[in-house]
Amino acid sequence: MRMESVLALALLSVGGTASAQTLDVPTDTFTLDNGLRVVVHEDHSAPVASVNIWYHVGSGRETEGRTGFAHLFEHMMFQGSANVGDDAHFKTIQGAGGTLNGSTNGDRTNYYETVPANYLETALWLEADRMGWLLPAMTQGKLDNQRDVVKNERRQNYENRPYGMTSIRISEMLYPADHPYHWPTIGSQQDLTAASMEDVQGFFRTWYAPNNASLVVAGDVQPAEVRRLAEKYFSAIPSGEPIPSPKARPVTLDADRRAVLEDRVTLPRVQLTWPTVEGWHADEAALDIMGSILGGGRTSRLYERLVYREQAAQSAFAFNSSRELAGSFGITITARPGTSLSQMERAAYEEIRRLAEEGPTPEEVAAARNGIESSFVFRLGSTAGKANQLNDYNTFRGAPDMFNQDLARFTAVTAADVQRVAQTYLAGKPKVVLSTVPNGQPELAAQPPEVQP
Amino acid sequence: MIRTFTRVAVGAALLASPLAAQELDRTIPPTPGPTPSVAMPDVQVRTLPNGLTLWVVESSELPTINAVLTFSAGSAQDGDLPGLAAMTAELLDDGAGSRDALQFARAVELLGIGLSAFASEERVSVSLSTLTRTADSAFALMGDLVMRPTFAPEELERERKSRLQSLRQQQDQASTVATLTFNELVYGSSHPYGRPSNGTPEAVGRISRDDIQKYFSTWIRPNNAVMVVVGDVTPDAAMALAQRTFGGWEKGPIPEAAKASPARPEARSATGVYLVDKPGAAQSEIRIGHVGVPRSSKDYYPLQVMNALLGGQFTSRINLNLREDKGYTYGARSGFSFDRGPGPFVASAGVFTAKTDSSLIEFMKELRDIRSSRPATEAEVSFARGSLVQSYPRMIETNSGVASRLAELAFFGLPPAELARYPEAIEAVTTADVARVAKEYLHPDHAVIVVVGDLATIRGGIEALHLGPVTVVPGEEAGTR
Repeated sequence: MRMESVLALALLSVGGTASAQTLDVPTDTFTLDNGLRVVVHEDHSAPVASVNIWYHVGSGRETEGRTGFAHLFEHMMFQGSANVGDDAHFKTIQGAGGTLNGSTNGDRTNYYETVPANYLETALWLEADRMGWLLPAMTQGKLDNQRDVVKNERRQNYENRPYGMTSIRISEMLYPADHPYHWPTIGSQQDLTAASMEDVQGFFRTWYAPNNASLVVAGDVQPAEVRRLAEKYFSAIPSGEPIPSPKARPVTLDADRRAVLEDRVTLPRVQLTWPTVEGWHADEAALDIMGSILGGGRTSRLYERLVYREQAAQSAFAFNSSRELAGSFGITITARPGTSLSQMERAAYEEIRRLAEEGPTPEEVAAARNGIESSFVFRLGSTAGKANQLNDYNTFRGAPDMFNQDLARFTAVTAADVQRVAQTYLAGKPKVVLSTVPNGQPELAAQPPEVQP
Repeated sequence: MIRTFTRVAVGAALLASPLAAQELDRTIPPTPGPTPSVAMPDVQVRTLPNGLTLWVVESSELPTINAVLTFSAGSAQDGDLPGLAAMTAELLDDGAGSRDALQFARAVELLGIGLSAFASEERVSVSLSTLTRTADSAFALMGDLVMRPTFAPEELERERKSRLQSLRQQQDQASTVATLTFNELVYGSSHPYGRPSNGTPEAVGRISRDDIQKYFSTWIRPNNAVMVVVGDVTPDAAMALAQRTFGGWEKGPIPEAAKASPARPEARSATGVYLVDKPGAAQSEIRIGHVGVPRSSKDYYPLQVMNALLGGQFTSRINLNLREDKGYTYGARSGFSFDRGPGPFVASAGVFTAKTDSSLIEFMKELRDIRSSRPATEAEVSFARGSLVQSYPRMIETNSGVASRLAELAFFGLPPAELARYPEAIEAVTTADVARVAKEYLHPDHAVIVVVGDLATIRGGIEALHLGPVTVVPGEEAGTR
């Protein structure tokens, strides 16, 4: 009985006849005179409101010698503004029982708070004050303090973390020196030391203008009221210079690049990274599903072979990451004692070749698609999750309610698509190969295979 | 069936109100409107004939269902085999019912559901998340996992091999080493809270299939469990689903230990400092604390308020001091683990190596001040209370949030109504209560201080603080006994 019910459903999904889930996220949108785009999504299921602002600036827009600045600047946005005291931003939101944070990546910086719905106006007052009047409250003391905090963030999440420096090294090798993804968002200790008050002022004036921002309000709110409040608090902020969206800049490699890192780790690890495509490229969904099939779970090809059957690896993952300007496909395998990284590297090429020659099974594609579909639906469970995703679509696609179009990209992927992207981007293509080995044991690094696959 | 629609509004100029912008006095924060009323989750309680208790909350906003099945067990019942509960939980889905490990994993992945089992110190929890349309198949798999695991010998050997390597890898992570070392020093290696839940190499090396089978048949029983179901399902339908899935599951004699509180270890006569060397480390991981209190403490709510202002929030004293004032760390915090027995109180941070001694000074100052020279003020207590009470709507916003909170209440033997009581229980906490619990439950002069970092750089500075006798714990022993 049990098995039959699972199989029946499986057949439906594999055949593509299961009714796709509809993702219902209605929105109101408007734009203020100063260029600030506003999106409102009503969800009265709980008395909370999420306020979410994206500025279309990330570490990719930084200049030489100032890496890490977009993120350091994000920290400065929590240090008070003309009408908001030094710790008042945190205290106002936490005192209201709300939660707040911000984050920076290569492409954008976001700020968000979820508060009881009666504090919506308070949250908008805070966001408007730092968008419009940050600089009068900036001091050298605040900058020095947050510089120290961010340096500790780097120590905690990169320098003192096992394998923590690998992502930085891979990006340096994958992207040319002038590419926005060449340097890490966290920056270098040296550049963080060099950041000055003039940098804070210049960065704010250039990038933190309403015409470079998108505001989403989601939750137990009324669109007309949000509109009134957005006008009230944001309309006096002057527009900045027009800021064109950056153009996609995918990269290619003409030959393999190999490197070895020594770290305080017990088990050696090899990471293979290929250039792929930017976000919303026609091949992104198939590449994501290929990641799932090669290394996304327990029945993925690399995990099943290397961890489960051969028991040679401690872990094996693969995933595609398509960002605003470029993308990459990465495989990470951590070897157990008695296994060489060279063996792991060869096994990865064998599995890629098999996928490129034979394609995946319909069942593999269906499982990946179903997992993605579930994650789309579960993401709608919180106003904060919806608000952030609406802003992702609004910032990078110019329209907020792209949930169904986004999901449709994944449900349309076929086995032939996956086979094609395996051939196009992975099989026999140049890549970055990084070995991370225990300190003092460089001989454990993966050696280049004699015959390239 | 359901449409997505967008109403695009243009011509913002028509609606703009320049007058309002000019007159707006931004120095005055907006006054919040009246506190919105919160719909308390309506929890329906049912019981199956075999003793399985069911708590159901219907919430049909999304076509999804979350279920959490909680057993009173966990690593507290490991006995002299640390890692036994963890390995048992890990093996539950490595073959169950008619499926072997890979077939089971494929069935889960093909459905696109989340289904996993996890052992913590006092609980084994099985969590399921599914779309409504796959609920029948999802619960059937959950039933196989908890009632009919295979425990195939080759799967046990796979799990053993993998776990032995992760225990070695655990030593790479300074934060993990710090926590394990702290727990062992506070409770001793024979206490349930002092042993590592993940296991020790020695015990993991010898845990047998019989040990696992025995743990499973003793503890994983319907009359030792509560299942919380939240989502797109009526209480009647959930009951029918539970009856269909778990109705044939046999109850068993549950040892008294399931409900027992682990003993309180003797308090230390003085503070001791324990160092673990990580040569070249960019940061030092600090843990300061001692035995705390059980969940059943009458002071549970006053302690929530006290810790919120001491180190439980970004705006707490500890974080504002060590991060926002001094810049020693990316974040510093404190917290109580409220367990069946007295779980630990711990203040913690990763700090810049060169500021390790300075950080210890500030931590100790905050822990001492709040109980003597600088007790919590009326304003701080009022702030913390307001913060906790008003966070309530957010706490119960998502189905998974409601499910995990209810599962916790059920585990502690508290009624579902305790969830709704939270705001009033916090409101009732006074400034005097906070001062009293700070004195009664914080013991900076009877504490264990663990620092994991580059001893060549930090040891001299720490010794000069004279916080207590300094002991160096050999790295290879830290948290592995």
